[in-house]
Amino acid sequence: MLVISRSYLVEVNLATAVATGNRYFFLDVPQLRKVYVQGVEAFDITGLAVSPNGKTIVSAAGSLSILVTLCVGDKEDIFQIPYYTLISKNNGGIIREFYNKQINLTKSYVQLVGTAGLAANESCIFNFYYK
Amino acid sequence: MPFSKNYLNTRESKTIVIKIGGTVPFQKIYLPVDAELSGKLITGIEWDEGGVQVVAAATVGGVAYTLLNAGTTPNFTLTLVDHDNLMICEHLVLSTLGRTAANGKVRRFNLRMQSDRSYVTNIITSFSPVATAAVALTFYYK
Repeated sequence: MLVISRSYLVEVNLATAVATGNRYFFLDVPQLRKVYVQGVEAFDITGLAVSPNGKTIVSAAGSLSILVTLCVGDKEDIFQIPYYTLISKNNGGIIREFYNKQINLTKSYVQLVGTAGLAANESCIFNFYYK
Repeated sequence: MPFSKNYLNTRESKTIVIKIGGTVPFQKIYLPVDAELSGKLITGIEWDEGGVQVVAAATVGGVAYTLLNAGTTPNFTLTLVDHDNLMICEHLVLSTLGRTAANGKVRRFNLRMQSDRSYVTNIITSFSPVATAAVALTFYYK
């Protein structure tokens, strides 16, 4: 079971009009460079209504149309994991744990496989647990 | 019988009630100064949801509070700061610490925080808490 040492909340905004196949890349977060990520948790609007930047979080229905890819270096180590899977309240409270991965955020992205329940300018939000 | 490796390694716990009534969005609502918690190794944090784990209309220390629940609190984050003023956990989503989202699990931590430098933030402008609104957090430590 994950023991949390440090955490950081990261937002990916669906800035442009949403369309199937669109990819939205993570922005660089200096605090998460070269750190060992032990777990990642995502949220829909029922867990966090608004991001700290004031953007509406994706709905529960919209979360079904999002896949997440996390890169280590240039390799897509966590490839197209469903956003739904990372929402702990959908999965018995479990936070998905990773084995000390140094995530390259700027190469990581979320990808839409549909647009149902999604709107432009909504945000995906992730809590990275790291040490 | 040996402990399960998932057991919460704690000796003591303390529940803090943080009054948020009368605050404005994005205001940092600091946790109270607490000599017991500061410097201790925090092994778990749990958000006590009103109406779920504890009665919503609670009187603590002679003061009446309305403890928020999952329905009214997808708006709050918790930021933990250590004694060097470094943010250990920034904008930890409060709902993940509650029973509804965590399905009964207590989120486990391994950190030392300075309670009076840590704070709760309401990040939604459309939510105006009632005057007696409060957030209750239980810290497990040793």
